[in-house]
Amino acid sequence: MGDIERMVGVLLVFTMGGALYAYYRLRTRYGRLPDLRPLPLKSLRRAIKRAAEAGTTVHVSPGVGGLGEPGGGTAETLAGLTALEGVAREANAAGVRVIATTASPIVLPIAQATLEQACTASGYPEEYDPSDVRFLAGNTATGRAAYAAGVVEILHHEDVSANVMVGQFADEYLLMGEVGAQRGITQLAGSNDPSVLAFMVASADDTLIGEEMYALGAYLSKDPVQIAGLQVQDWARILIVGAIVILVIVRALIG
Amino acid sequence: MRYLIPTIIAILAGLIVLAEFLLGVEVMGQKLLDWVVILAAFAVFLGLVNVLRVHGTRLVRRTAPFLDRFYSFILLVTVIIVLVIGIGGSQTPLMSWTYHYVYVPLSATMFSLLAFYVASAAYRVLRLRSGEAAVMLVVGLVILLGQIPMGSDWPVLQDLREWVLSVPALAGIRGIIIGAALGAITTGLRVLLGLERRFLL
Repeated sequence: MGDIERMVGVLLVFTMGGALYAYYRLRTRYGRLPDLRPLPLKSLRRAIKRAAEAGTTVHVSPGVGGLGEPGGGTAETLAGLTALEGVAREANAAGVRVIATTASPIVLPIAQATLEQACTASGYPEEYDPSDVRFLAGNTATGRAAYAAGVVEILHHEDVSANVMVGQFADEYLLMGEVGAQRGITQLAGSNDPSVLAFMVASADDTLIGEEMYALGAYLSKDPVQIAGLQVQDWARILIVGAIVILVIVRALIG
Repeated sequence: MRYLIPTIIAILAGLIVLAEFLLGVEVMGQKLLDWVVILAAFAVFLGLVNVLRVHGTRLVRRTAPFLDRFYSFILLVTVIIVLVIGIGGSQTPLMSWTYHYVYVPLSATMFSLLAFYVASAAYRVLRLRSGEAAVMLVVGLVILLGQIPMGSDWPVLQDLREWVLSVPALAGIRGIIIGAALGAITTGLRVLLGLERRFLL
């Protein structure tokens, strides 16, 4: 692809996306919220209720990616932090302790602030304990195994009854997910990597596939900004599918 | 005001990197990425403090089971040993030995468990409990038999495997990738429009 084509493509995506975002942001601000198709979150909500009754813990991982760090994963990590915020709000409101783990030192203070804000928002600021957000290992190739070992230790010894793992993962996911499945822990997992999704479907009760991971925040928080983002995604998807169909027909006709 | 200045900085940083990508020039984008690496290096200290705090607290408080406190003790001792070894630099023979003969084998040990976990997860998925599981079982068998050397005796099986991998499986993967890319673009738009403030907490 030439430079001009790349420039036109990116500008088109950002100007159209920006305009659509502004439009839907205004609509949602005035209370015109769309109906959202259900995401598979029932198991998680039931697990949080059970944890409240049994006095057990919820573990949340925003993945092994970082924010703006080499190796990518920024968007996935933001989706994971959104999941942490939503789950922490629901769990704290029910009096359930949340443990969050990260493999990125940059994500650590953000996850701590997210958990603190969730505790404050649910009316229990005194429940926030900075030690509940843990940096387990660096997000290098070998560090990921150490991170998985740390999460496995938490799943074994911290009386965890629900495990949420949404973000950037690789093969190490199965080391954690399978332990969770064998221990009967209710699991919600999400990734945009097809090879990891196969592991997630095999070990988690519910799986968020690709774009569903980015939509989780809107579902948990009902935040108008995030809901507007969902509508932009929907339009972009319609346009892309339309373009693919038209191009296939044109190609078939031209030969 | 608390959010305004960080939001403006985030928008400017995003626009600079995007503009450089579009124009094919390099002014500040690489510098910004270098700053992230420096920030990450400082953040490692925060991580170290976090590790010391979590395991130090567990060690001091006598509420945790003995074995957990013992493991925390081992971890803290290991942290101190590696820190002392690393004072001389990351390329010293002792540090190199620790990395290659302790850390890497431990990491490989963890990943070696994957083979067993894959078998266990596959068994759970392939149990015939629903129509979906039946489809997965049949497709899994076709791929497996088409993959092994014995499968080369049955060209039909190999053709079927090739078709499954290059048509329905590839279509699904592309759908997931397009959807995920749209989600990532929307997240990027939120940052550039100043609507994503999660990282400014």
